[in-house]
Amino acid sequence: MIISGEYHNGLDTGKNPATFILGSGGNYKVIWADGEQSGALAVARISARLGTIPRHIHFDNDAEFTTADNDGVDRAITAAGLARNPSFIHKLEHNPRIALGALLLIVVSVLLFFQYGVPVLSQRAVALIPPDVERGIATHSIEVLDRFVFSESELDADTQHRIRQDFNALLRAQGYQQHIVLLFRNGNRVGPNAFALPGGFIVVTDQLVKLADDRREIMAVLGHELGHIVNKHGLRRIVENSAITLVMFSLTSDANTVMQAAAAFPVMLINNKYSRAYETQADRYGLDFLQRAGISPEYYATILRKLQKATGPDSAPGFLSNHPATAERIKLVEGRVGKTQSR
Amino acid sequence: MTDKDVEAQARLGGPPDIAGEEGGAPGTTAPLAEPAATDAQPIPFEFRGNAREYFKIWVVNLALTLVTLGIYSPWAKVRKLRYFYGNTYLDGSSFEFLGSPIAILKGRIIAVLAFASYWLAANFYPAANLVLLPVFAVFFPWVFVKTLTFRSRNSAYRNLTFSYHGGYLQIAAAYFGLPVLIAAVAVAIFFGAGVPLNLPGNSPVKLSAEVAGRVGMLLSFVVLGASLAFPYFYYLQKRVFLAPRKFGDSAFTFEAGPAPFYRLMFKLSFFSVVAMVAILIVLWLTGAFTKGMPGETVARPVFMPIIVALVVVLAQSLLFVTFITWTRNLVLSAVRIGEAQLGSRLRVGEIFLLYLTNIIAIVCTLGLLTPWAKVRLTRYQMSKTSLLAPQGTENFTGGPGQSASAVGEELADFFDLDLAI
Repeated sequence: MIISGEYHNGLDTGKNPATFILGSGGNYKVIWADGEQSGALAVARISARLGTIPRHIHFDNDAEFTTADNDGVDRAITAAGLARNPSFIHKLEHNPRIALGALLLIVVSVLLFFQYGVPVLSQRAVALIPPDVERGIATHSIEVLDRFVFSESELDADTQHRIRQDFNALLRAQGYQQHIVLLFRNGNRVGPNAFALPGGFIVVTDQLVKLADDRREIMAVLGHELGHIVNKHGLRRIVENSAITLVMFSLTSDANTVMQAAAAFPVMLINNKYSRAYETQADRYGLDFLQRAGISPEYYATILRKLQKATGPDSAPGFLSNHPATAERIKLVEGRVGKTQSR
Repeated sequence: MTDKDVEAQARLGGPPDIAGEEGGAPGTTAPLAEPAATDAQPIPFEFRGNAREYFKIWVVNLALTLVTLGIYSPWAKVRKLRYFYGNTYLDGSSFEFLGSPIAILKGRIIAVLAFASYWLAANFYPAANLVLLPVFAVFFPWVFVKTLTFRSRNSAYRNLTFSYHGGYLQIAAAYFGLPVLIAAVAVAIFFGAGVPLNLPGNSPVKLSAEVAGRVGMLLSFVVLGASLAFPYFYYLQKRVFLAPRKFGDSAFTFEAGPAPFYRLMFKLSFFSVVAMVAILIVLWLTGAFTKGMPGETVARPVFMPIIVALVVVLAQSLLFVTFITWTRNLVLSAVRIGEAQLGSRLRVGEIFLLYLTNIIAIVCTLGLLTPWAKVRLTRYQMSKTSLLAPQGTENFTGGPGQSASAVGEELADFFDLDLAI
């Protein structure tokens, strides 16, 4: 068996066109212009076949024989009895059907993971996080927000007190054990809004309080935020964001950093999908909360409409947004209003 | 047919320059080729990889990684690296990657531990980052040396390997010199002004207007000084990355000083100012700044903000691509290996188009076209990279043990980590 290639002595980069011969008993001989060497092929290190890249047979004396004749090397390995099935991985990589199967496997597992795996994973992971860690995250977030976004609330103590009292009364009546802390802040450029933070904190902006004509509207918003807290949505989003980023990162790990950064866009889209689902869940939770408290869901629809008017129409198309379209949310609420009245 | 017959046949059918004479002990050095004439032409590198072939390799290895729950990933990584090295040709010979998956597995474990502690700290114990970052910084030069040594020693061309000889302090100075300097000066200024450091937990201190003004002025000097020093430290980083290397026993030299780095940064700052002004003028001409008058009936395009954002993002990306392309050209063209001179002549426009189309393809396929993107980028980069070797490519030499065939045990405590440098 004869293979032509080059002999590289390992001491200089001379090309040395050479011939490799496999004789009997697994012994080889390499012959080049000014020399030859021979030995047992079994003690040489033969690089594994991969695509069409050249093979290297590294001998035990610093020298190598290299050739593009991949089939020849495979035949030599079999003939010398070194392996029965050389280049097994290469055969998998070379077969278009196996590649197609691998592609399907990857696509299906990634989709299943995003659809079912991530939510289950985040739910389990969140259950493991101790409450004081949760509170730590919240205090840190509030510190950051206070420094860069919020300023002290301009609401008078009386207004704050009455909202707290109302909300605590509703919580007590429904038998909540968790202590919920209401914080009032001037939202500045954030405008009318409320935020649920891990560990049972709800931040309400002055602008939201002023937007409401009735305290029951604020209770409706707080019911929604309570839904986020009870279901630990904040923590779950941290875990989910990391899981999605990890998957996208492994898929694109071949690309350089710049192209990898572009993968942040699909991550955002998938994140938003989870986020929209959480908003809807919180809306439903809030409506149940109102119902148990004997407050008409109409108050929630009212404040949503006011918020929509205050912040302008939804600017981004649905898939780019992390909240469901306000119109859809109002429709959900109105569905409830109809049901309650017909009862 | 006996062995002798086969041998005889081989001699007849072998390459024409195999002469009849016997002799030469195994592994003897071939006589050096005639030195080439001084008007040697640069030899371009060539990437012979193929997107279809690589896609299959990528997807099968990813699936194997998936079904083995990630355990296969170092083996997959080695195959991918081998594919790119093995398809990169210079003067008819390709490179070879020799790294073992175990070293990559070690690197992965280190990276996962570091990332996990960072993730936990960033999300759940933000204060811990104050401790964690200095710890990472102390380990960074060590990781850098281990990784570059591993990579170099496992890269071979015609059976001769590379090596890396950078030192801990050299690396630390290049990467942390500037931040440490800035921090030291800033602390000195605050201390001089009698301002306690604004650490988390301290209540913010109100300064008198006079002191605040002086501190502000000094700090703006620090910012100015830092921007002036940046190109120098950037130059140091590139040099410590490339210069302390050898191919066989030919040392690398880094021929550029800091001056071209300053010129590059200056040109780039100039272009960014020009781009900013141009965008502002265009926006002004198209009336993006004029507010809609009350009672105005003409419908204003709703998509205006989107267009503005798009233009700004495009301009920023173009500047960034210009930066990395110019830097690559400057840095690689400054490298000499023994007598041979590397050259890099990437064109900003071509790279920009490549990146743009690659990013669109990656985003639209949720990452599935990444292998295609990588192959076409590499093919372009290699076609614009060259080596001018006045002595030819056959005359590099190495000492004993520097061959690819001898790579082995001595790399036991080295590992491979993906460093974004």
